[in-house]
Amino acid sequence: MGEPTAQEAADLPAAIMPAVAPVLPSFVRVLRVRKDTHDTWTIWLERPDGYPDHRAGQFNMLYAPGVGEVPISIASSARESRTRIAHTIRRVGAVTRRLTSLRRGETIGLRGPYGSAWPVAESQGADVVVVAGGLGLAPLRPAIVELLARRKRYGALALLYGARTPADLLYTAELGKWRSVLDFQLLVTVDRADRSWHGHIGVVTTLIPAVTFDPQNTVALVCGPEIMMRFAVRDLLDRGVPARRIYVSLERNLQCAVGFCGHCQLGPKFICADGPVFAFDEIAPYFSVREL
Amino acid sequence: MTPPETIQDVRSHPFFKDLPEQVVEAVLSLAKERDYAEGAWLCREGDPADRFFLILSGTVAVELHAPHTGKRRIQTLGAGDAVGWSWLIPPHRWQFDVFTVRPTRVAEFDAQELRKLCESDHTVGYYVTKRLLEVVSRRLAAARIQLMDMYA
Repeated sequence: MGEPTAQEAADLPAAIMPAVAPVLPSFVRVLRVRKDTHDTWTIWLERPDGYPDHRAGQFNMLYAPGVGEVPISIASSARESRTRIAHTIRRVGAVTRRLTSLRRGETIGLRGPYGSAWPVAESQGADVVVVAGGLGLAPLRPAIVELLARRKRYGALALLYGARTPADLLYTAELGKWRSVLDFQLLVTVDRADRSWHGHIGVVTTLIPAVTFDPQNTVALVCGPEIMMRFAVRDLLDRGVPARRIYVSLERNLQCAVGFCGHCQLGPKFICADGPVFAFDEIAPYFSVREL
Repeated sequence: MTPPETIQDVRSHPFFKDLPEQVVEAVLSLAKERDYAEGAWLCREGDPADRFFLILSGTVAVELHAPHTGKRRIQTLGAGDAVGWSWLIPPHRWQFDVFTVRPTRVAEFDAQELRKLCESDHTVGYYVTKRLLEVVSRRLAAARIQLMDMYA
Protein backbone atom coordinates (compact mmCIF):
# COMPACT_ATOMS: atom_id res chain seq x y z
CA MET A 1 0.00 0.00 0.00
CA GLY A 2 1.54 3.31 -1.10
CA GLU A 3 1.13 6.90 0.04
CA PRO A 4 -2.45 8.27 -0.25
CA THR A 5 -3.20 10.37 -3.30
CA ALA A 6 -4.09 14.04 -2.80
CA GLN A 7 -7.78 13.18 -3.15
CA GLU A 8 -7.51 10.25 -0.72
CA ALA A 9 -5.66 12.46 1.76
CA ALA A 10 -8.33 15.12 1.48
CA ASP A 11 -10.95 12.50 2.30
CA LEU A 12 -9.17 11.32 5.48
CA PRO A 13 -10.16 12.74 8.85
CA ALA A 14 -7.74 15.47 9.91
CA ALA A 15 -6.86 13.58 13.08
CA ILE A 16 -5.13 10.81 11.16
CA MET A 17 -3.59 12.91 8.40
CA PRO A 18 -1.07 15.29 9.94
CA ALA A 19 -0.20 18.42 7.99
CA VAL A 20 3.47 17.42 7.90
CA ALA A 21 4.62 13.91 6.98
CA PRO A 22 4.70 12.38 10.45
CA VAL A 23 7.56 9.95 9.99
CA LEU A 24 9.84 11.94 7.72
CA PRO A 25 12.93 13.18 9.56
CA SER A 26 14.58 16.54 9.08
CA PHE A 27 18.32 16.43 8.86
CA VAL A 28 20.02 18.60 11.45
CA ARG A 29 23.55 19.40 12.50
CA VAL A 30 25.13 18.55 15.80
CA LEU A 31 26.04 21.83 17.49
CA ARG A 32 27.66 20.57 20.67
CA VAL A 33 28.52 17.32 22.42
CA ARG A 34 29.21 16.96 26.14
CA LYS A 35 30.17 13.80 27.99
CA ASP A 36 28.16 13.70 31.22
CA THR A 37 29.19 10.35 32.71
CA HIS A 38 31.11 7.26 31.60
CA ASP A 39 28.12 6.10 29.50
CA THR A 40 25.98 9.21 28.97
CA TRP A 41 26.34 12.18 26.66
CA THR A 42 24.28 15.30 25.99
CA ILE A 43 24.11 16.46 22.38
CA TRP A 44 22.70 19.74 21.17
CA LEU A 45 21.07 19.69 17.74
CA GLU A 46 20.03 22.57 15.56
CA ARG A 47 16.30 23.13 15.56
CA PRO A 48 14.78 22.19 12.19
CA ASP A 49 12.66 24.62 10.16
CA GLY A 50 9.02 24.40 11.16
CA TYR A 51 9.79 22.63 14.44
CA PRO A 52 7.22 23.83 16.98
CA ASP A 53 8.07 24.84 20.56
CA HIS A 54 8.22 21.52 22.38
CA ARG A 55 6.79 21.05 25.85
CA ALA A 56 8.67 19.61 28.83
CA GLY A 57 8.38 15.82 28.81
CA GLN A 58 8.07 15.34 25.04
CA PHE A 59 10.50 13.31 22.96
CA ASN A 60 12.07 13.28 19.50
CA MET A 61 12.94 10.37 17.25
CA LEU A 62 16.63 10.57 16.40
CA TYR A 63 17.86 8.76 13.32
CA ALA A 64 21.45 7.71 12.85
CA PRO A 65 21.73 7.08 9.09
CA GLY A 66 22.53 3.47 8.31
CA VAL A 67 22.09 2.36 11.91
CA GLY A 68 18.56 3.09 13.09
CA GLU A 69 16.18 5.33 14.95
CA VAL A 70 15.44 5.71 18.66
CA PRO A 71 13.14 7.82 20.82
CA ILE A 72 15.06 10.27 23.01
CA SER A 73 13.53 12.62 25.57
CA ILE A 74 14.15 16.31 25.06
CA ALA A 75 16.43 17.53 27.82
CA SER A 76 16.19 21.27 27.17
CA SER A 77 13.34 23.70 27.55
CA ALA A 78 12.03 25.70 24.61
CA ARG A 79 12.44 28.63 26.99
CA GLU A 80 16.25 28.17 26.97
CA SER A 81 16.81 28.33 23.22
CA ARG A 82 14.81 28.66 20.03
CA THR A 83 17.70 27.52 17.88
CA ARG A 84 18.88 24.30 19.47
CA ILE A 85 17.51 21.25 21.27
CA ALA A 86 19.36 19.09 23.82
CA HIS A 87 19.10 15.32 24.21
CA THR A 88 20.81 13.32 26.93
CA ILE A 89 21.62 9.86 25.65
CA ARG A 90 22.87 6.78 27.40
CA ARG A 91 25.00 4.39 25.35
CA VAL A 92 23.15 1.07 25.50
CA GLY A 93 22.88 -0.24 21.92
CA ALA A 94 23.94 0.22 18.33
CA VAL A 95 21.96 3.39 17.64
CA THR A 96 22.84 5.13 20.88
CA ARG A 97 26.46 4.09 20.39
CA ARG A 98 26.43 5.96 17.07
CA LEU A 99 24.55 8.94 18.52
CA THR A 100 26.97 9.25 21.41
CA SER A 101 29.92 9.09 19.02
CA LEU A 102 28.75 12.09 17.00
CA ARG A 103 30.97 15.10 16.63
CA ARG A 104 30.10 18.73 16.19
CA GLY A 105 29.06 19.46 12.60
CA GLU A 106 27.86 15.94 11.77
CA THR A 107 24.28 15.47 10.57
CA ILE A 108 21.53 13.17 11.83
CA GLY A 109 17.79 12.81 11.32
CA LEU A 110 15.26 14.22 13.76
CA ARG A 111 11.49 14.09 13.84
CA GLY A 112 9.22 15.35 16.54
CA PRO A 113 8.35 16.62 19.02
CA TYR A 114 6.01 13.84 20.06
CA GLY A 115 3.94 12.82 23.03
CA SER A 116 2.31 14.31 26.07
CA ALA A 117 4.00 16.70 28.49
CA TRP A 118 4.49 17.31 32.19
CA PRO A 119 1.67 19.51 33.54
CA VAL A 120 3.96 22.46 34.31
CA ALA A 121 1.61 25.37 33.58
CA GLU A 122 -1.35 23.42 34.95
CA SER A 123 0.40 23.03 38.33
CA GLN A 124 0.55 26.75 39.11
CA GLY A 125 -0.50 27.41 42.68
CA ALA A 126 0.37 23.87 43.78
CA ASP A 127 3.40 22.38 45.49
CA VAL A 128 5.47 20.39 42.99
CA VAL A 129 7.60 17.39 43.92
CA VAL A 130 9.89 16.04 41.20
CA VAL A 131 11.28 12.52 41.71
CA ALA A 132 13.99 11.49 39.26
CA GLY A 133 16.02 8.31 39.04
CA GLY A 134 19.12 7.93 36.86
CA LEU A 135 18.57 9.09 33.28
CA GLY A 136 15.02 9.98 34.32
CA LEU A 137 16.35 13.41 35.23
CA ALA A 138 16.76 14.23 31.51
CA PRO A 139 13.05 14.45 30.57
CA LEU A 140 12.37 16.22 33.87
CA ARG A 141 15.09 18.83 33.36
CA PRO A 142 13.00 21.09 31.07
CA ALA A 143 10.15 20.94 33.59
CA ILE A 144 12.53 21.99 36.39
CA VAL A 145 13.89 24.83 34.23
CA GLU A 146 10.35 26.06 33.60
CA LEU A 147 9.27 25.69 37.23
CA LEU A 148 12.28 27.68 38.41
CA ALA A 149 11.78 30.33 35.72
CA ARG A 150 8.36 31.05 37.22
CA ARG A 151 9.21 30.13 40.78
CA LYS A 152 6.73 32.56 42.36
CA ARG A 153 3.77 30.90 40.67
CA TYR A 154 4.26 27.67 42.62
CA GLY A 155 4.15 26.64 46.24
CA ALA A 156 6.88 24.39 47.65
CA LEU A 157 9.23 22.98 44.99
CA ALA A 158 11.35 19.90 45.54
CA LEU A 159 13.64 17.75 43.43
CA LEU A 160 14.57 14.31 44.72
CA TYR A 161 17.21 12.75 42.52
CA GLY A 162 18.76 9.31 42.81
CA ALA A 163 21.59 7.73 40.86
CA ARG A 164 23.68 4.60 41.04
CA THR A 165 26.89 6.24 42.23
CA PRO A 166 28.20 9.82 42.53
CA ALA A 167 29.96 9.36 39.17
CA ASP A 168 26.59 8.62 37.54
CA LEU A 169 24.97 11.90 38.54
CA LEU A 170 23.85 14.00 35.58
CA TYR A 171 24.05 17.77 35.21
CA THR A 172 26.32 18.17 38.26
CA ALA A 173 27.13 21.82 37.49
CA GLU A 174 23.44 22.60 37.21
CA LEU A 175 22.65 20.69 40.40
CA GLY A 176 25.10 23.00 42.12
CA LYS A 177 23.26 26.03 40.79
CA TRP A 178 19.86 24.65 41.73
CA ARG A 179 21.14 23.95 45.22
CA SER A 180 21.63 27.68 45.74
CA VAL A 181 18.09 28.57 44.63
CA LEU A 182 16.07 29.79 47.56
CA ASP A 183 12.86 27.93 48.30
CA PHE A 184 13.94 24.93 46.26
CA GLN A 185 14.42 21.68 48.15
CA LEU A 186 17.06 19.65 46.33
CA LEU A 187 17.96 16.25 47.75
CA VAL A 188 20.36 13.94 45.95
CA THR A 189 21.06 10.34 46.85
CA VAL A 190 23.09 7.49 45.43
CA ASP A 191 22.77 3.74 45.84
CA ARG A 192 26.47 3.21 46.43
CA ALA A 193 29.36 5.42 47.40
CA ASP A 194 32.67 5.44 49.18
CA ARG A 195 33.64 7.70 52.04
CA SER A 196 34.52 10.60 49.76
CA TRP A 197 30.78 11.13 49.15
CA HIS A 198 29.21 13.23 51.88
CA GLY A 199 25.65 13.14 50.61
CA HIS A 200 22.77 10.74 51.08
CA ILE A 201 23.07 7.02 50.40
CA GLY A 202 19.95 5.00 49.80
CA VAL A 203 17.20 4.64 47.23
CA VAL A 204 15.55 7.84 46.06
CA THR A 205 12.21 6.92 47.62
CA THR A 206 13.77 7.22 51.09
CA LEU A 207 14.01 10.98 50.46
CA ILE A 208 10.25 11.46 50.16
CA PRO A 209 9.64 11.74 53.93
CA ALA A 210 12.38 14.36 54.17
CA VAL A 211 10.69 17.02 52.03
CA THR A 212 7.99 19.44 53.07
CA PHE A 213 4.84 19.72 50.96
CA ASP A 214 1.08 19.75 51.32
CA PRO A 215 0.06 16.34 49.91
CA GLN A 216 -3.47 17.34 48.92
CA ASN A 217 -2.16 20.36 47.02
CA THR A 218 0.85 18.66 45.45
CA VAL A 219 1.61 17.63 41.89
CA ALA A 220 4.31 14.96 41.64
CA LEU A 221 6.37 14.37 38.49
CA VAL A 222 8.14 11.01 38.53
CA CYS A 223 10.58 9.58 35.99
CA GLY A 224 13.13 6.80 36.21
CA PRO A 225 13.36 3.03 36.02
CA GLU A 226 9.86 1.58 36.24
CA ILE A 227 10.62 -0.28 39.47
CA MET A 228 11.70 3.02 41.04
CA MET A 229 8.55 4.74 39.81
CA ARG A 230 6.38 1.99 41.31
CA PHE A 231 7.87 2.48 44.75
CA ALA A 232 7.94 6.28 44.43
CA VAL A 233 4.26 6.33 43.47
CA ARG A 234 3.41 4.05 46.38
CA ASP A 235 5.24 6.31 48.84
CA LEU A 236 3.64 9.45 47.39
CA LEU A 237 0.20 7.85 47.69
CA ASP A 238 1.06 6.91 51.29
CA ARG A 239 1.93 10.57 51.95
CA GLY A 240 -1.55 11.47 50.70
CA VAL A 241 -0.84 12.79 47.18
CA PRO A 242 -3.91 11.95 45.05
CA ALA A 243 -3.28 9.47 42.19
CA ARG A 244 -4.63 11.93 39.62
CA ARG A 245 -1.93 14.43 40.66
CA ILE A 246 0.98 11.99 40.31
CA TYR A 247 2.47 11.93 36.80
CA VAL A 248 4.84 9.29 35.47
CA SER A 249 6.72 9.02 32.19
CA LEU A 250 6.68 5.55 30.68
CA GLU A 251 9.04 3.93 28.24
CA ARG A 252 8.19 1.07 25.91
CA ASN A 253 9.19 -0.11 22.44
CA LEU A 254 8.50 3.14 20.61
CA GLN A 255 8.87 2.76 16.85
CA CYS A 256 6.63 5.03 14.78
CA ALA A 257 5.99 7.61 17.55
CA VAL A 258 2.65 8.58 16.03
CA GLY A 259 0.31 5.84 17.21
CA PHE A 260 0.28 3.84 13.96
CA CYS A 261 2.36 0.74 14.59
CA GLY A 262 1.15 -0.38 18.02
CA HIS A 263 4.56 -1.54 19.27
CA CYS A 264 4.30 0.64 22.36
CA GLN A 265 0.79 -0.37 23.35
CA LEU A 266 0.14 -0.66 27.09
CA GLY A 267 -3.37 -1.90 27.69
CA PRO A 268 -5.60 0.51 25.76
CA LYS A 269 -2.90 3.20 25.59
CA PHE A 270 -0.19 3.94 23.06
CA ILE A 271 2.80 5.27 24.98
CA CYS A 272 3.93 7.37 22.00
CA ALA A 273 0.64 9.08 21.27
CA ASP A 274 -1.21 9.01 24.62
CA GLY A 275 1.99 9.35 26.67
CA PRO A 276 4.80 9.15 27.53
CA VAL A 277 3.55 11.29 30.44
CA PHE A 278 0.46 9.92 32.15
CA ALA A 279 -1.46 10.82 35.26
CA PHE A 280 -1.08 7.76 37.46
CA ASP A 281 -4.81 7.17 37.78
CA GLU A 282 -4.99 6.78 33.98
CA ILE A 283 -2.54 3.90 33.84
CA ALA A 284 -2.65 2.47 37.37
CA PRO A 285 -4.37 -0.78 36.28
CA TYR A 286 -1.56 -1.51 33.81
CA PHE A 287 1.39 -0.16 35.78
CA SER A 288 2.37 -3.39 37.53
CA VAL A 289 0.85 -5.96 35.20
CA ARG A 290 3.37 -8.67 34.52
CA GLU A 291 4.46 -9.24 30.90
CA LEU A 292 2.62 -6.11 29.74
CA MET B 1 16.53 15.38 83.92
CA THR B 2 15.77 16.15 80.26
CA PRO B 3 14.44 19.71 79.85
CA PRO B 4 10.80 20.08 78.71
CA GLU B 5 11.69 21.69 75.35
CA THR B 6 13.86 18.69 74.55
CA ILE B 7 11.02 16.33 75.36
CA GLN B 8 8.89 18.32 72.89
CA ASP B 9 11.54 17.83 70.16
CA VAL B 10 11.59 14.12 70.78
CA ARG B 11 7.80 13.87 71.01
CA SER B 12 7.46 15.23 67.48
CA HIS B 13 9.77 12.53 66.07
CA PRO B 14 7.92 10.37 63.49
CA PHE B 15 8.66 7.28 65.61
CA PHE B 16 5.93 8.43 67.98
CA LYS B 17 3.38 9.45 65.34
CA ASP B 18 -0.10 8.13 66.16
CA LEU B 19 1.09 6.06 69.14
CA PRO B 20 -1.17 6.09 72.26
CA GLU B 21 -0.28 8.92 74.61
CA GLN B 22 0.55 6.62 77.53
CA VAL B 23 3.01 4.71 75.34
CA VAL B 24 4.68 7.92 74.18
CA GLU B 25 4.92 9.17 77.77
CA ALA B 26 6.41 5.91 79.02
CA VAL B 27 9.06 5.78 76.29
CA LEU B 28 9.84 9.50 76.51
CA SER B 29 10.55 9.11 80.23
CA LEU B 30 13.70 7.22 79.21
CA ALA B 31 14.87 9.69 76.51
CA LYS B 32 18.10 11.60 76.85
CA GLU B 33 19.06 14.14 74.26
CA ARG B 34 22.65 14.05 73.14
CA ASP B 35 24.83 15.82 70.60
CA TYR B 36 27.50 13.99 68.64
CA ALA B 37 30.26 15.76 66.76
CA GLU B 38 31.03 14.85 63.16
CA GLY B 39 32.89 11.55 62.93
CA ALA B 40 31.61 10.13 66.22
CA TRP B 41 30.65 6.48 66.49
CA LEU B 42 27.10 5.65 67.55
CA CYS B 43 27.79 1.94 67.43
CA ARG B 44 30.32 -0.59 66.14
CA GLU B 45 29.60 -3.97 64.61
CA GLY B 46 29.80 -6.75 67.19
CA ASP B 47 29.59 -4.46 70.23
CA PRO B 48 26.71 -4.87 72.70
CA ALA B 49 23.61 -3.10 71.41
CA ASP B 50 23.14 -1.09 74.55
CA ARG B 51 21.37 1.95 73.09
CA PHE B 52 18.61 2.98 70.72
CA PHE B 53 18.66 6.30 68.85
CA LEU B 54 16.11 8.58 67.26
CA ILE B 55 17.79 11.18 65.05
CA LEU B 56 16.56 14.72 65.67
CA SER B 57 19.01 16.48 63.31
CA GLY B 58 22.18 15.72 61.39
CA THR B 59 23.24 12.69 59.37
CA VAL B 60 24.73 9.31 60.21
CA ALA B 61 26.16 6.65 57.92
CA VAL B 62 25.64 2.92 58.21
CA GLU B 63 28.72 0.95 57.16
CA LEU B 64 29.83 -2.64 56.86
CA HIS B 65 33.41 -3.74 56.76
CA ALA B 66 34.40 -6.48 54.34
CA PRO B 67 37.78 -8.04 53.66
CA HIS B 68 39.51 -6.73 50.49
CA THR B 69 36.80 -4.14 49.76
CA GLY B 70 37.19 -2.33 53.06
CA LYS B 71 34.39 -0.26 54.50
CA ARG B 72 31.25 -0.10 52.39
CA ARG B 73 28.85 2.69 53.17
CA ILE B 74 25.38 1.21 52.82
CA GLN B 75 23.02 3.93 53.81
CA THR B 76 22.70 7.34 55.39
CA LEU B 77 20.02 8.28 57.89
CA GLY B 78 18.84 11.69 59.01
CA ALA B 79 16.30 13.63 61.01
CA GLY B 80 13.18 11.56 61.59
CA ASP B 81 14.97 8.21 61.29
CA ALA B 82 15.53 5.58 63.96
CA VAL B 83 18.88 3.85 64.40
CA GLY B 84 19.09 0.26 65.51
CA TRP B 85 16.86 -2.62 66.36
CA SER B 86 19.59 -4.97 67.54
CA TRP B 87 18.93 -3.73 71.08
CA LEU B 88 15.54 -5.50 71.02
CA ILE B 89 16.58 -8.81 69.48
CA PRO B 90 18.95 -11.28 71.17
CA PRO B 91 21.91 -11.54 71.28
CA HIS B 92 21.73 -7.70 71.44
CA ARG B 93 24.82 -7.02 69.34
CA TRP B 94 25.17 -4.33 66.66
CA GLN B 95 25.30 -5.70 63.14
CA PHE B 96 26.72 -2.59 61.47
CA ASP B 97 28.92 0.40 62.18
CA VAL B 98 27.10 3.70 62.50
CA PHE B 99 28.89 7.03 62.73
CA THR B 100 28.02 10.67 62.26
CA VAL B 101 28.92 12.36 58.96
CA ARG B 102 27.57 15.68 60.23
CA PRO B 103 27.07 17.00 63.75
CA THR B 104 24.07 15.04 64.94
CA ARG B 105 21.51 15.44 67.69
CA VAL B 106 19.75 12.33 68.89
CA ALA B 107 17.30 11.15 71.48
CA GLU B 108 19.17 8.29 73.09
CA PHE B 109 17.62 5.43 75.07
CA ASP B 110 19.35 2.97 77.35
CA ALA B 111 18.56 -0.40 75.77
CA GLN B 112 18.37 -2.29 79.05
CA GLU B 113 15.86 0.18 80.50
CA LEU B 114 13.82 0.20 77.30
CA ARG B 115 13.74 -3.62 77.15
CA LYS B 116 12.69 -3.70 80.79
CA LEU B 117 9.87 -1.26 80.05
CA CYS B 118 8.72 -3.33 77.06
CA GLU B 119 8.76 -6.53 79.15
CA SER B 120 6.92 -5.02 82.11
CA ASP B 121 4.29 -3.20 80.06
CA HIS B 122 3.31 -5.30 77.07
CA THR B 123 1.20 -2.51 75.60
CA VAL B 124 4.32 -0.38 75.36
CA GLY B 125 6.27 -3.42 74.15
CA TYR B 126 3.69 -4.12 71.45
CA TYR B 127 3.67 -0.57 70.07
CA VAL B 128 7.44 -0.17 70.21
CA THR B 129 7.97 -3.53 68.48
CA LYS B 130 5.32 -2.74 65.89
CA ARG B 131 6.86 0.64 65.12
CA LEU B 132 10.33 -0.89 64.87
CA LEU B 133 8.93 -3.54 62.54
CA GLU B 134 7.70 -0.74 60.26
CA VAL B 135 11.23 0.68 60.25
CA VAL B 136 12.71 -2.74 59.48
CA SER B 137 10.15 -3.34 56.74
CA ARG B 138 10.91 -0.02 55.02
CA ARG B 139 14.66 -0.61 55.25
CA LEU B 140 14.30 -4.13 53.87
CA ALA B 141 12.24 -2.87 50.92
CA ALA B 142 14.81 -0.15 50.25
CA ALA B 143 17.67 -2.66 50.48
CA ARG B 144 15.91 -4.97 48.02
CA ILE B 145 15.49 -2.14 45.52
CA GLN B 146 19.16 -1.25 45.96
CA LEU B 147 20.06 -4.88 45.29
CA MET B 148 18.24 -4.73 41.96
CA ASP B 149 20.79 -2.17 40.78
CA MET B 150 17.92 -0.58 38.87
CA TYR B 151 19.98 2.13 37.21
CA ALA B 152 22.33 -0.38 35.54
